[in-house]
Amino acid sequence: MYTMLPDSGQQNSNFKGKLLVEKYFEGKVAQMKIDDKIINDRKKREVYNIKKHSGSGIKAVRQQICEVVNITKICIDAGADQGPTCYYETEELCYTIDLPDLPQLPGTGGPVTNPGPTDEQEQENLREAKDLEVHNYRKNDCDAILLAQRRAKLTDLKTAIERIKDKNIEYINVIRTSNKNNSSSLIIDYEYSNQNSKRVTATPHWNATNGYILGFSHNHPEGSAPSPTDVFNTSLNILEMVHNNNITRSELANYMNNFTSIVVSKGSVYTISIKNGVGYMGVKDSGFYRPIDHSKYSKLASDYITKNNLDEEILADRQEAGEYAILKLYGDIINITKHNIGEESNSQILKIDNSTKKVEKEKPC
Amino acid sequence: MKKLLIVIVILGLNLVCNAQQNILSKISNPYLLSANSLSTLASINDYRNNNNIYPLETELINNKTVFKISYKPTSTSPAKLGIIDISFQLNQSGIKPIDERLNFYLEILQLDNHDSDVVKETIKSSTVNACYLIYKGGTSVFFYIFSPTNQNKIRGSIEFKYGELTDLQLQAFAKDFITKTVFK
Repeated sequence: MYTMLPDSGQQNSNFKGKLLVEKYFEGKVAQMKIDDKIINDRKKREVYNIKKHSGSGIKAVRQQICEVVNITKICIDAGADQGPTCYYETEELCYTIDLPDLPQLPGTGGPVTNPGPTDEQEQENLREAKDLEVHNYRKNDCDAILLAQRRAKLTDLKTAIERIKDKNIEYINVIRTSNKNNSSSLIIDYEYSNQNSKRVTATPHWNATNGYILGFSHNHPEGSAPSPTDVFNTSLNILEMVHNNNITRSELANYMNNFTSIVVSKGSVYTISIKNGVGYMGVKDSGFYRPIDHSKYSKLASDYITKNNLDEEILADRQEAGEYAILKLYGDIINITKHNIGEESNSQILKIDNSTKKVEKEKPC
Repeated sequence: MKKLLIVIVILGLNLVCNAQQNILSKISNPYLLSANSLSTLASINDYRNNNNIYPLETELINNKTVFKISYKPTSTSPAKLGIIDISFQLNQSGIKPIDERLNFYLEILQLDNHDSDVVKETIKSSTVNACYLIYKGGTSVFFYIFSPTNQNKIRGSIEFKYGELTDLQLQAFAKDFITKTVFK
């Protein structure tokens, strides 16, 4: 159930206030602050960037429909010779539709093996410990290279990459761990595609039923570099993991240390991993809005092509432009490495050179 | 000496202003007026700031031209102010089947979006072969326009402030802009 509590003094054409999201029958209530959401003259619009205010952590993208409806017909007798003048008293009504199902909180979808602390103070301590884990999380170039190379050595993943590398639609493999506290035993599920689209969607989970998913590997048939979706739609919401009492600090650490989004693109393998915990958590939670971020990406890539007189039809040029765009947008919060398919020890970190403003590949370790 | 310095400074400024490509020597389009070109980083970002079109540019890029642009979704509606980046490029890859080429560029632009997340279209006429893509709910149109004779191309993007135009209005503008483009 959604309850909108407007701030005082707001105009009819604006909504500012709090949104209470209550999970029926479970007694869970999340409260979110909505601001700067102007209801303009468009009849239908998307509300986005709803920011979490407090509570168990639910972020929603939803649509609001506003329409002007006639409430009452009022007629005024303007005189015997003119007859009555009538008009309708109207009111703008806004209501919410198509709110997605409440996202399943990580760890709550299946049998709960660790119900987590029940004492309120213990829960607070756990959240603080996990918050500290995120705030201390930093990974340098060598960390990223070593992680990519660990993935490159996985026999099952190598085999899967060989199977999907030349597909003309996207296929995706789930990378999951059998032990939620470490990644010593990884399982690569058989790939799948989307029957209704050339593009495939990643669905992250962290529970016993759907698996403890540490990332995905998928192909880009057109040979492009990773996109914003590859960075964010493949991962869990770190803030929700912090607020989920069923997830321990070591599980969170395991997830952040080992999350990878792998993109197989015409002979190359890109491995995306988390570089800065706080930065990644923030953008994933409230700063990623698909159409705007994709627009920024495409414009940066286009400018790079133009500036350097490259040609999209040349694979290396196309990939370099995309690499520049993704690094320019998220280079502070993610690491990206690249190696050729089949290589196990030759991953290079991607960087934007400060002086040339071009993409450089380095192997510092 | 002082006069000489002034002349050098003026010449230098002139070089900066002329660093952008002169797209109007390559194509014509009634939406692109030379008086509306923005030739310095400061003028581009001032315009963006004044019209709430973000993000700002971080550098002035040679080989492209930036224009102020305006569009009236209907004859009675007020003009919506936007900004366009546009650049011309000689065909470097030879003549290819144009459908293949247009679809290839749409694939690049679509990224990981499902078809339902974008508006995309190819347009073929005697004067242009083109494609454009809009990320639904976004603020921009991305386009490629090829000359039917030699497949030289222009690429570009048109941006408005958030919420200024609906997806349908952006689409209508993209089609109008493309069909009014003529290669010289």
